[in-house]
Amino acid sequence: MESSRIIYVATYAGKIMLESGGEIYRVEDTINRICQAYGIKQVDSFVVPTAIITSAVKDDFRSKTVIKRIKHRSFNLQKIVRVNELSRAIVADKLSVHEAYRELKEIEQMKGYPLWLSTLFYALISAAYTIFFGASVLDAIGAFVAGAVMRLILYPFEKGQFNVVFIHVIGGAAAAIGIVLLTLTGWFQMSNMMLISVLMNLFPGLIMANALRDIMAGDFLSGMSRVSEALLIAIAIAVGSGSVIGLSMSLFGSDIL
Amino acid sequence: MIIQVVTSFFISMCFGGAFQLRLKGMLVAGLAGGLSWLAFLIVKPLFGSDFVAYFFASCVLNVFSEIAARVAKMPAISFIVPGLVPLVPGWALYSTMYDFVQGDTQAAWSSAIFSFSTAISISLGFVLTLGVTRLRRPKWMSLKR
Repeated sequence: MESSRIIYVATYAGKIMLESGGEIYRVEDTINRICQAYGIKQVDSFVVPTAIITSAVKDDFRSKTVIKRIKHRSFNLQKIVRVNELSRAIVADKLSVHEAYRELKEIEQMKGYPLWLSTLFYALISAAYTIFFGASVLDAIGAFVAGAVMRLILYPFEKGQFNVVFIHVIGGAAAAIGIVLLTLTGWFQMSNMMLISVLMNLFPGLIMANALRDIMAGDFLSGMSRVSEALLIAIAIAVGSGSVIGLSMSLFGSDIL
Repeated sequence: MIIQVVTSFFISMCFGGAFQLRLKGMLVAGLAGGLSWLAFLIVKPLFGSDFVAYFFASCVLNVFSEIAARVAKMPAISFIVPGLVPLVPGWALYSTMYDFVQGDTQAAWSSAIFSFSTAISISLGFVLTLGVTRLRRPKWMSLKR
């Protein structure tokens, strides 16, 4: 009874980590460490980006297994940080299984930043990128507006847990439409830089970094599947923005962007 | 140059915020991004090659993030992800797409190859630093925990 609860809690911690964008080896490590801290010596976990399998063998050679399927992911680095802290506390022998479970429940339901603040972050990224590329402050203001609008358009799609490829096609198209509309006002000089800055918000940096770290840690299966996911997202962004650019070129002349 | 370093600090910091990091993590992530872009700007005139400069910048990013992770007791991935963003060759990726749309396939391929080689040099930086940290990992883990 107790051991199945331990395995469940450990797998739950791994699930939160994987859903928030943790690396494979970190998830496996966390699961193994939590189990070992609670006295289950023989434990193996197998983690791929879409599932977690944990199996433990007690001293009487009876094994227990938990499988968790990961359906959708929402990247949240703060959750990884907190699960990491929790697993340190467990290993330092400070928490009972019940307390750990309650803490994990709280981490899973953790409130993120409010919508206005995360929109502000994305808008600031766009504005800062425009200046980074050497455009003027006026262009940065335009990119700020376009980045905020794109994020607000994407928000319901992300909440509704649509397919990632679909979300990024929509995002690329929304960014391109916004920039084309802004360019038509005639106030901005470097509209192509503005478009790059806004599209940069969508870039799958977390998936790419995870993929590289997975491959280096020896998890080739997960690493390659994440590389293909990142490539697919990049193509989706290009399809979304490219189709809008092609359309606006035929409508407003080829030097629109 | 200073403007680029400051804006890359700012970009990484905001990206950390967009990934829900709290203020302390955001500041360290910003430092990671700013430092790696500084390394890029210093190395590029020395070797005159984007490939080498991206490699060094990626090494700096990884080493800094691993050290900061040990000091701040936070996972390194939370600094690497936002810090990676200024290094992404956005211009080359964009012109790949733009030239394809315009029908200039040759120009599109040359920017595609440039972004691909950048990706390779960034991942080489990952490989080198991760290889070293992974070597020592079991030891310090068992010591600390």
